[in-house]
Amino acid sequence: MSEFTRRDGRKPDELRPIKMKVGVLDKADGSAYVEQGGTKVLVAVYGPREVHPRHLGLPESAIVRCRYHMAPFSTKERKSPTPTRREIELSKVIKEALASTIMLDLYPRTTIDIFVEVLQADGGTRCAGITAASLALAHAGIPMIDLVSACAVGKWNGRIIVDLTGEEDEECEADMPVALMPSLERVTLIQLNGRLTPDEFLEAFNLAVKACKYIGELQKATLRSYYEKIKEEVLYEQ
Amino acid sequence: MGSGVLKRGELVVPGDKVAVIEEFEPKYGFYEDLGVVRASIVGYPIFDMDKRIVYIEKTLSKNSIPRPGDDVYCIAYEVSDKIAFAHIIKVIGRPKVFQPPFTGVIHISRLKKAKVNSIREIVKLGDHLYASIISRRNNVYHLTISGPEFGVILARCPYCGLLLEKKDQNLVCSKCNIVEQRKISKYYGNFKIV
Repeated sequence: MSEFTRRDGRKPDELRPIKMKVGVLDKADGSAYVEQGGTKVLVAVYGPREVHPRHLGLPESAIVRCRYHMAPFSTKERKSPTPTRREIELSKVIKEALASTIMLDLYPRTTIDIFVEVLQADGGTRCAGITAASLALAHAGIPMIDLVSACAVGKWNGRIIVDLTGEEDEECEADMPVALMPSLERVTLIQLNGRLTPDEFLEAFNLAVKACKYIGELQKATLRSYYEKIKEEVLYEQ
Repeated sequence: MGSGVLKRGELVVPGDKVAVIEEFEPKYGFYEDLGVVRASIVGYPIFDMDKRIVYIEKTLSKNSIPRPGDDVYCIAYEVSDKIAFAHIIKVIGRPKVFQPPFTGVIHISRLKKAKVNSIREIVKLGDHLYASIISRRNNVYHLTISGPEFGVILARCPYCGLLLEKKDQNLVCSKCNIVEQRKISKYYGNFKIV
């Protein structure tokens, strides 16, 4: 059987090159930047802070608000900056993928605001957004049970592939973004567009878990290298 | 927090396993999940070998919310007979400035001074206060200004807006010559917000 290669020359289980940075914005409580191939995402986290309007606050826990937004220059054709139906849906999806890891009960009547800004879109923006948002939350010092790493898998030309590009995303027969807590091995998000047989689903899921764990290792390495550079004197007593 | 033999561990990130529950009890920055003690924030763990606890002492994050026992800098934004509301701007000794500010309340029952019929006699709208958080009952920050260090640290003349000057136990406007009553902090006029 001849070796299956993708349009960009990658193997089916090969991820695009990933770059991660934390602490990229001074004004935000936590921030991160993730580049996955041609996809570039910047995330800022604010909070925990008092909820406005007040009636949204919960007496027993914090709330998470998320805004996923694609910059007008992120796509080939100008994208209107008005939030689209897709952006509103993805904001909800990202919020739910992250909220299950945050220890919300520690901060009653407060809010944690997450702003996900897609600077350049080339497939897998929600996954890169979740990965970056998780890093930004860790950078903000918000207690979480684990980091969250995300990666999409899909079926393209009859084969299960990982980390789809924008082109592959448009042509694929199925697309399944998965978000995972890498240390606890718990899934926080799974969506499936298209059709997969049970065997294909299992193959795709296992591939996604493997990819998420790899991304999780990169997240931990990024946080460690950032914190190890910091001198003891600038740390704050809690 | 710890006082016995302390051992510092390697840097941990959320989700990292540091011990099992039989070894150490999780404190600040750690939690227990299915018998395993894991980190919830980034930092260096301190293992107290006598008390058998593990915690994170210092973090890079300047992010924290006010807690009971904290001394805070706040500004009164609503004053009635029995209660005053204040915006908590900053916890003294911590770097974070709250934006938007948290809301705190000062109830008349929390004042030790006996002859106060209305809270308006000691705090007025727009006064800058140095207060202490006494509780977070019903998820509301309850503040007190009892004690010589707590009280009004800066106030303005209600007529001309000029900063009032402290003279004996009163505040005086140098332009209008009016005398205002307040519960004045001993740091009035020279309070440093750090």
